[in-house]
Amino acid sequence: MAICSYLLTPTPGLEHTVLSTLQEFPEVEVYPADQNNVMIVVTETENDQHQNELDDRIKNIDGIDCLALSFGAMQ
Amino acid sequence: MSSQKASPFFAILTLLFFTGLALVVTRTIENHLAHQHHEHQKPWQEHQAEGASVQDKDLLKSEVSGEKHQHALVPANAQRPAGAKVRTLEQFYSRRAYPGAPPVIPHVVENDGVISHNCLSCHDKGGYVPKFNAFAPLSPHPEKENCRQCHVPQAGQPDFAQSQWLKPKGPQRGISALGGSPLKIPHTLQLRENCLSCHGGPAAVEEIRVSHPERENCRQCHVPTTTQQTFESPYGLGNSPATPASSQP
Amino acid sequence: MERRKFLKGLALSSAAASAAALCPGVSFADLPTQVDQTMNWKKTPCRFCGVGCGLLVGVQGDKAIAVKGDPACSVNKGLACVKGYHSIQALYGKDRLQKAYVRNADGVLVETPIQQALDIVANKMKETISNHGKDAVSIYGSGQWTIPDGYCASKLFKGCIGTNNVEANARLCMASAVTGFLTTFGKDEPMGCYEDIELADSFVTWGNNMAEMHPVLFSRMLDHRGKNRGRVQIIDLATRTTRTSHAADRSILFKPQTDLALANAICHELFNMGLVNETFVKAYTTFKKGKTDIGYGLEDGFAFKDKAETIDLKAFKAFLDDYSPEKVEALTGVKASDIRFLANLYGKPDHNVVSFWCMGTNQHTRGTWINNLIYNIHLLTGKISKPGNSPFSLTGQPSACGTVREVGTLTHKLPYGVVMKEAARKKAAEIWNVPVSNIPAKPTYHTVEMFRALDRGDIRFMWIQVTNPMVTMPKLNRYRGGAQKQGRFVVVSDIYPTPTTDIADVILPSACWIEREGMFGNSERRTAHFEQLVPPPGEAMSDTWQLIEVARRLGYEKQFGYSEKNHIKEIYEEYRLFHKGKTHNMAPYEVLKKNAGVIWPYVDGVSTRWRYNSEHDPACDQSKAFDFYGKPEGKAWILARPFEPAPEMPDAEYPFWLNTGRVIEHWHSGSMTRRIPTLHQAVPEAYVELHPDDARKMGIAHGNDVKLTTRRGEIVLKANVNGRGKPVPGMVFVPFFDEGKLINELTLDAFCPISKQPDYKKCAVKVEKA
Repeated sequence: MAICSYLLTPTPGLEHTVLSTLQEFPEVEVYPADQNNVMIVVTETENDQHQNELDDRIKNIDGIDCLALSFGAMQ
Repeated sequence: MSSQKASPFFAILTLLFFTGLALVVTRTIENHLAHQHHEHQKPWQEHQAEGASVQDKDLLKSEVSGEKHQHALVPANAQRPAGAKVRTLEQFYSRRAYPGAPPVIPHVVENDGVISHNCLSCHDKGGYVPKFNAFAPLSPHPEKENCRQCHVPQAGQPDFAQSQWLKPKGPQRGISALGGSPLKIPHTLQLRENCLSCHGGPAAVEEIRVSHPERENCRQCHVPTTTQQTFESPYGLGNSPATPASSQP
Repeated sequence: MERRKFLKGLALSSAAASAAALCPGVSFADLPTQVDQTMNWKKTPCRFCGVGCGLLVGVQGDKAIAVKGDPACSVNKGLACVKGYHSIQALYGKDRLQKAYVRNADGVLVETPIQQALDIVANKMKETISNHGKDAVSIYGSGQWTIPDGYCASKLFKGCIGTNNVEANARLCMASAVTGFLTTFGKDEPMGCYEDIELADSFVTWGNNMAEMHPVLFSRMLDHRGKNRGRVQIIDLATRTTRTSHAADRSILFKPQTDLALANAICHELFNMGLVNETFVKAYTTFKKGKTDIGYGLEDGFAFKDKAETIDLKAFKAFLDDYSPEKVEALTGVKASDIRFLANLYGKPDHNVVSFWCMGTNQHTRGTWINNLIYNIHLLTGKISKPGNSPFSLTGQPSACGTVREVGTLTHKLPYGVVMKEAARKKAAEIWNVPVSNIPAKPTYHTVEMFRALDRGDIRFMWIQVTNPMVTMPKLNRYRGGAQKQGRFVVVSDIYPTPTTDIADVILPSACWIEREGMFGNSERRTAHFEQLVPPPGEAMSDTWQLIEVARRLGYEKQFGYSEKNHIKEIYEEYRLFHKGKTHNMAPYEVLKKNAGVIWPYVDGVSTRWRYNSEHDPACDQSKAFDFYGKPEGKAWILARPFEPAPEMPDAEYPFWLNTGRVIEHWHSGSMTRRIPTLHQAVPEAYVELHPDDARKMGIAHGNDVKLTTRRGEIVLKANVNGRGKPVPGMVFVPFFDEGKLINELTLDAFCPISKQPDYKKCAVKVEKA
């Protein structure tokens, strides 16, 4: 099991696209800030390998200005 | 019984290897052990076997003299007696109302009328205190003179009234963001900016002793986990009831 | 699964924290409850003393679980004391009052739903007013009242009901400071602020054990001295050798009550040594004298009114003739050379001096006078209202200033001005939306007299909030007996059972500190706001809301129409109207919420740190360097106040002085701190300190039982010799926190005739080995 969290800064104007794309990932929970300028992404995957694959998929979403890993627990 | 008694030796040995203390020190201790292992039947061993609470009682009975230093202080880098008591994380937390609270003074303080200087005679530079068979823990903030502003001795009397306070469980080890990366600092640094006072030296807390105290710039690699100090809730996961009465042990 | 949930909580909280660091003010409405695993640090002023440290309380779910000092608060800069660090544990005693209790016909306290108890309180008030008149009901509050608590009490009793029977325990701790300020400057509260500490060269503590009573400020002082070794020094003037004396560079001991002579002797030497700042004295001061031989208030109904008379410099100097160092040496026990040393210290040019004092001078039958005399020293040398030069009266309680002094919860006071002044009554009536005729123009009873009135039966109903008078009143036996008489009705709002709830007819469970929203005001005019951080237990309710509930039941819905959600903000903004203007403007609610306290006067977005100094204070006449605008012509009064002896002196039968006070670990009567295991274990019970020579003469060793007897009562305590404090020979000291060992059964209810504050520091006692 691997649990990670990220802080994601969406490109202004594309917040909704990013949000709806992320919400389609079953391993992902998204919490947009009330101010819409940043969102918290929490991921839960089987193992590190899955985590790394998911990480790549998230990075490839259009409309992300910055994605920073905040927490990671790998087992 | 014999294995119980032997284990602290190996623990100390292992620890000393990893602390990066001068090799000379470890060598002398090794020699010391090799020569004296069999003769050791000293009071400290009984204390070790009986656990931390006994140590505390022991401390409470002994008095630290305020004005005269009745006990001889040995410099920190001198030969460490093989059986000196080891400071454990459990004991470390037992002296605090919550992780991060100022620790209580676990020994008797004779001169109640003075605020500080006597405390610092042991807790500033540290050193071995034969009377307690232990190394004096270092204060991470020796520049603060009014020790008794925050640190108080304990009388060991019955409580005035029962408390429902449950002590939060402190962090046991830092949580690494990714496997292998440097551990984050799981507590605030306020008044605790001198990392080595708990994580290094002969009085370090055993479980959190750093393996590389010679690299002095701790915060080059270890960063605090932002502003948050994460504890495991003493009241269980999720929301606890408005009053913890029912969950009282 | 638990582990997974825990890790997810950590993951979320870690990200939320990073987000907060990255984008200040960011919020997430949808975060799930696991986030409760995160501890959030929330700001609040400390619950305990008048220093007013900023704390950060770690809140997890609905519990407060950790404390650290708030680095953003300029008062304490991240440091707290042992009481502050353990303060949150005071919320979690097992015997916390969670329900109301009402005494039934058999005299038994019966658990009662709080709404029903509030009905009983309101009905009893109505009944008392109709049978015995408005002045038969009273409220006795506290310097631990939040600003909204005190404001509602004053509005209800003075504005709506129409009685001046409003008092607070700050009468027992700060009244002499207030009258000291008013007589000398015409305006209450210190002119300087804590920043003076880092700007001072010398500190003089007058009967003030700061190491234990104001530890965080004391540490600021020690830090400053540590960084300026050799330049900065601390001089301790006291009747007892304390931790403060030991830490000071010089400890000067004087005999009880003789501080009056000592202060005058310092002034004598200022003139003698040519150290008077003549330009300052001429431009900004005027000399006055008041009445002398003014009594001690020992009899019921004692009345005194001071009268000031203008004198000239020559007359003032003549007055000082009696106080040459050689003349006062025997009286005070202070060597003439030490007096000259002090005069030189205060007087030498380009040397900043801060004086600190608290209970030693305030709890004094000449409390107003000794306050005046310390101001005299600072006025004569012109070392006042300038950064680093400050006569600084410290406060005992977290909101003695904020609530009792500023809101004015004393019999003669209104939130702005005094009841005797028509303009003040008009202003209050207008803001309170009551007819001006409601507010009586005559003060009724100060605290000691209020309890005497309860004993006599002039007062029939008393509501006590956030204080424990059955531990803290002097000459306790009389006042406990009085409160328990037939036909008296006592309501007590508290958080734990105490000797005061023992005598209550109704007990109301209160929400404590961060279990509700509120504000405190500290010693340096700093108003600090705290949010509700955790829910109160059971049916406990804030003192503010208890007052609102009762006010509505009494028919004052219009005046108490505050909304449950926003009532603290609404009350505070209403209260702020009283202080509009450059001399006392208070920061708006929103500003308070954002900051770790804000100093008033807060004018055009800036706090006035040094009052009466036109460089810093916009309320001054800008054509003058200094303007003491509380007095005519902007001139502060230098008052000739003589030495007069204490009312009860040691004699053949009662040969010792009895002094009482506090210890660092315990807060006042101990109802909170004794329930904090670390603090209770540090000082589990009261004791009596003796001078080692006295102990030896009587064959008393440390730990022996000692019997103390005064004309009012007796008690047995363990001897403490060479312990924390050492009284001067001929004096014993007992802390008052222990409800099991009530030293106030022995103390005397003599008070300062001007401030009406009792003297807990001096009465005659017999000491015997038990």
